[in-house]
Amino acid sequence: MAHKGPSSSGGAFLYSTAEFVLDSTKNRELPEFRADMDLRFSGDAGTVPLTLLFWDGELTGAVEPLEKNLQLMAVLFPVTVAVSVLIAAGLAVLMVFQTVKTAALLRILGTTKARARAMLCWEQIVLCMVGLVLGLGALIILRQDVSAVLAGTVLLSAGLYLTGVLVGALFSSISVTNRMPLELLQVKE
Amino acid sequence: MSGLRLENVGYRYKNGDRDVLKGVTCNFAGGSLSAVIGPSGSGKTTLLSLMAGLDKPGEGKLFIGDEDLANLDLDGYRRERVAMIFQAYHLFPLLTVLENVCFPMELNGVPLAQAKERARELLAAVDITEEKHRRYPANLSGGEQQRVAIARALSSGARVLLADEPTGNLDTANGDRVMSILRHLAHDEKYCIIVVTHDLAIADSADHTYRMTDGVLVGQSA
Repeated sequence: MAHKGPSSSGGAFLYSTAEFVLDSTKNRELPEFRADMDLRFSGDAGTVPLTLLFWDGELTGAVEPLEKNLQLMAVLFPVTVAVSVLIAAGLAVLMVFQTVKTAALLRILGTTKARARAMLCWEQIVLCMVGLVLGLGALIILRQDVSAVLAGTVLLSAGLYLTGVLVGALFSSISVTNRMPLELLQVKE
Repeated sequence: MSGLRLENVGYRYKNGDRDVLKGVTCNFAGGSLSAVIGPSGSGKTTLLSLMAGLDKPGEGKLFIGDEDLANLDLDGYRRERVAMIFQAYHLFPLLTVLENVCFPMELNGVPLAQAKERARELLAAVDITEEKHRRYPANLSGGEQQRVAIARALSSGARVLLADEPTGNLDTANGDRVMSILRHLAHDEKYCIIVVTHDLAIADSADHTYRMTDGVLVGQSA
């Protein structure tokens, strides 16, 4: 903050003009700054009546929609993550059900139920891990910042997605291995 | 010679309102090829499931040799004592021919090099040439796939072979070839071969034929 033409009156500084230089990286803090300034100048601290005028209309017009978008995204983010977890679980279920004949064959060849389930789940987990590595790689390229993948929300989202796959694969592999293998392998006439 | 013996075997599905198998008593001896025929829904698949150790009978007992299946670990029984072939072959599509035959041996803990050597012998025995060992099942004819399936079944060391419509998807020439391999295994190698089929020609050529009707084995002939 700079001031022009200060004069001393009984030990107090009087200002005829005040210039504020705002840090553009703090544009989002403008409403708070304005409220603070209004508060500071609202009383009768000065001996000269002071009117504080902000010429911030253009800046506010640009920042406010961005602020609203950010608020909306903050609400949508958990919803998006929840939907992606559901999709992950659903896809794992579908993919395990597609391997129903392989599961039946494994059982007929003497694989225990537990081992067959582990094999089916492991296949889905490996596929998910490959997908996550590709996704995180894409994030690094887009952000051009390796540390972007270390953000808490990114890791949390990846972990939740993996959990969704695990739950879906586990549920479906139990279902598949509990069915009668011969019925799954017979040719329907 | 290891055979399968059923004593008064009965079975009813959970929540089922009728007996799928009723008092089935039969002796499938080693060194013979037996055929089980019967209409759909007569209980053939259930009988196969029990003989394959995929389920337990509600009543009666099954024996392999002199051992009661109730006293055996059924997963181990399927890995080492009994093997199956199917109408639709059911080879693992993402494994090569050689890997398919090695798979049961790997489940039994046989070292890979030893498994591959044994797999090559078995594939040669069913006339699958070396050049086809690295192919995937989809690149083989139906007859070749079924012969690979037979090699896979033999690879576990099982002496009882259950075949569910083994020639159902094959033309006559390939069907005859598969049946001649199964007859050779029964008569010369002393395997116990049990074929479930609708094909009366196969039934006629079997050493023993059993007819399944409404869960009862009837009309046994030798």
